[in-house]
Amino acid sequence: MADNKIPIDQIARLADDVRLIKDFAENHNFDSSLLTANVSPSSESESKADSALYSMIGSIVLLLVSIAVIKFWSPPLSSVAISFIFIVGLVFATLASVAAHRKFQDNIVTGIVVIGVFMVLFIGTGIFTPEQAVDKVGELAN
Amino acid sequence: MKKNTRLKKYVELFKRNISQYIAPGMDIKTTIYPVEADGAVFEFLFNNENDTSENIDSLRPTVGRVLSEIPQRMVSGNIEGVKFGGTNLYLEGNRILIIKGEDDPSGWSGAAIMEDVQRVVSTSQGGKSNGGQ
Repeated sequence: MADNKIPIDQIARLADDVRLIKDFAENHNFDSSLLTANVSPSSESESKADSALYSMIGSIVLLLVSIAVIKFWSPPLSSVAISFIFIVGLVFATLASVAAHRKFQDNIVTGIVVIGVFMVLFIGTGIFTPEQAVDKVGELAN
Repeated sequence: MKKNTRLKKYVELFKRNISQYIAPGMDIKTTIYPVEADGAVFEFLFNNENDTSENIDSLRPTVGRVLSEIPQRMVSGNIEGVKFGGTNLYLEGNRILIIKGEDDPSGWSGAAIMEDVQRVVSTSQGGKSNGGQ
């Protein structure tokens, strides 16, 4: 008889389990015609997601090309031309950040991409040394 | 969850992600029920009257209190004694209730919201399910 008794702490845990509703889903006569039956996203949405990824990669590549032109073009460019290409680089860095946000829809990931691409641009064009860039990122993180 | 910015962000991303599944001509009216404790309740009402309004209801102490005061047939009895975890879904008629039980950032991220949308869409075509236990 005594063997059949359940310890009180087990009963308490069981009661807690019963009262917890987690990741439950119930369809109570929902009008299924309001949402399309195809659970997989449409091909259009996939292409949208892919276009964000391709835009991000393309913008980063063009950003690197801009930096390479400023650094390695021979004979060296005039200061006006360098300023113009730097602005073009800023545009590509911004586009890469926007595309990253469209792709991942996460502020943390977007923040990392923003810091990354702008630091690449600033280090690549000689505005910051790598040491200064690390300090700046540290300041931003704090 | 009391942070209006996070609550509104959830609605924005939820509506953006579910828009690809919605039948043509349908709009979604949204009501947000913030709570002082962890979690929140979102109500999405499908309509064809161009109503895309977004309202934030009054702050309530718990998710259980919200559910005790709005129409739903998922939980009955002493709802305020019930704890909610993860993301719970209740679909009825032209209405979707999303019941968030926690403030854990992982449950409110962009990826988590996309997963919520996938669960809503699959649940809309089926019946009851319990993915958490």
